[in-house]
Amino acid sequence: MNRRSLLVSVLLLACGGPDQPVGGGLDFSLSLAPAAAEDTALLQVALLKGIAAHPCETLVDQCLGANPSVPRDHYVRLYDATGVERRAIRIPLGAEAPSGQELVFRAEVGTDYRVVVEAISTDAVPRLVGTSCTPLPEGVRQSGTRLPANPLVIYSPYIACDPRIDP
Amino acid sequence: MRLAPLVVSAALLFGGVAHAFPGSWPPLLLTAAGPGSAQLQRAQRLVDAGEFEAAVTQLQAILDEPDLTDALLVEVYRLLGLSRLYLGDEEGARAAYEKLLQAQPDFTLPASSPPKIQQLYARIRQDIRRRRVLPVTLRFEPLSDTRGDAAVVAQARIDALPLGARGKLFHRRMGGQSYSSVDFSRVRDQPEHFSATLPAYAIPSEERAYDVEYYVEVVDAAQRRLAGSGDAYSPLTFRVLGSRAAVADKPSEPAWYANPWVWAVGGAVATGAVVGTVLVATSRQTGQVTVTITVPGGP
Repeated sequence: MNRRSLLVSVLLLACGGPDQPVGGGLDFSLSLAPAAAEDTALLQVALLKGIAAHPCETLVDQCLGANPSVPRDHYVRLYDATGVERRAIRIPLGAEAPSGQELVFRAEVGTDYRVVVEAISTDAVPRLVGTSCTPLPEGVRQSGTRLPANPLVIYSPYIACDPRIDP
Repeated sequence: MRLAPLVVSAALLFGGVAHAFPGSWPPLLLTAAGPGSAQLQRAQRLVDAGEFEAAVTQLQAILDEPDLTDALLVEVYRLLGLSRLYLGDEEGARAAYEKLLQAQPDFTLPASSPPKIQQLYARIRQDIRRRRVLPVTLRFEPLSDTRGDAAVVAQARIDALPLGARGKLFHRRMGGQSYSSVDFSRVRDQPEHFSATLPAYAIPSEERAYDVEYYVEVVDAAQRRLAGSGDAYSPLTFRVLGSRAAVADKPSEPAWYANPWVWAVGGAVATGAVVGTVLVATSRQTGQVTVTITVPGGP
């Protein structure tokens, strides 16, 4: 292989191909207590790779974004409605009627995932209201999966950490 | 008689020369072999005996022989010049010395020669130097294509070939690194015509035809090129036809892989395959995730 073809191959590998949306996916339902819903401004959803690597005991009682046991490459790649890649997707809760609200995004297809939903407070300095930790052995597959999330664990008092996860 | 002192001086001169170089000319005469050597010894004896007319006749006969060596020609012209001086033929002697000096430009008389002879010889040399030198010309018929395993004879006409100069035919198989050479030799009774024979083993017959590069040069004793046809960097060529005439004579169809379009299309297909494989391997498949929020007791 000459230098030029090697360079082209490296560039192609570095860029990667376009994302290919496929059918199916995951339908995930989260039940939020009314009291928690009142104090929650945002819900933040992240998927982690490896259920065994990330037991819920290590994920609760602290902000996921500040958790040293979760390196960046353990996050499943997520894509918001505009196609931007993120580590976590946030959904602002409607003040009037949050029930039935849907958050739709795309996630890299795979298995052995763990879903972490964090409720972020309405405070000027955001705090962590609660955490939902759900194993997802079948992950996000091309065929649809329906899964109820584990209940949100509400902290009292709310944990004073900034739960927002950068892209 | 004006020529008498000259003849005597010339005799002293060349006797002195022979005496001054005892290891050169006489041994050459004794050991020379090949065409004309026996006749040259007879000519030497005639000169020694003072029979100059017979010596000139003998020496002229030697010059008509083919394939004379340069060393032998030097001896012939030396004796010819001497004999003509004895006979009072100064112009004839000058012509002979001119040939001699062409072959041996640094030829000088021994210092012991009488001043008068030295002056005569110096005048001859000066006249030769002033004389316009005729250019050497070569006319050569290019070689034709031939079958292998047979000698090829090259014919050339070389005019004004100086003594000591020779024609050479250089040849090599196309793609070879160095040239081999064969000498041209004078054709009997045709002083300006020469031939060189390319031996059969140099152009063997093979199944497939091949080309031979060659050029012809006339070079002087110092290997300086005087005339030529072609040269090492721009040689002439002839083809040695293959033994399979049908294969050799008919231009063969180019192989499929010699077609540039095959490589262009093949390259495009290969590139597309590589790009496609890389894209498929590196693309990420995504699935839709829908998170539905339920607030029990909510509206």
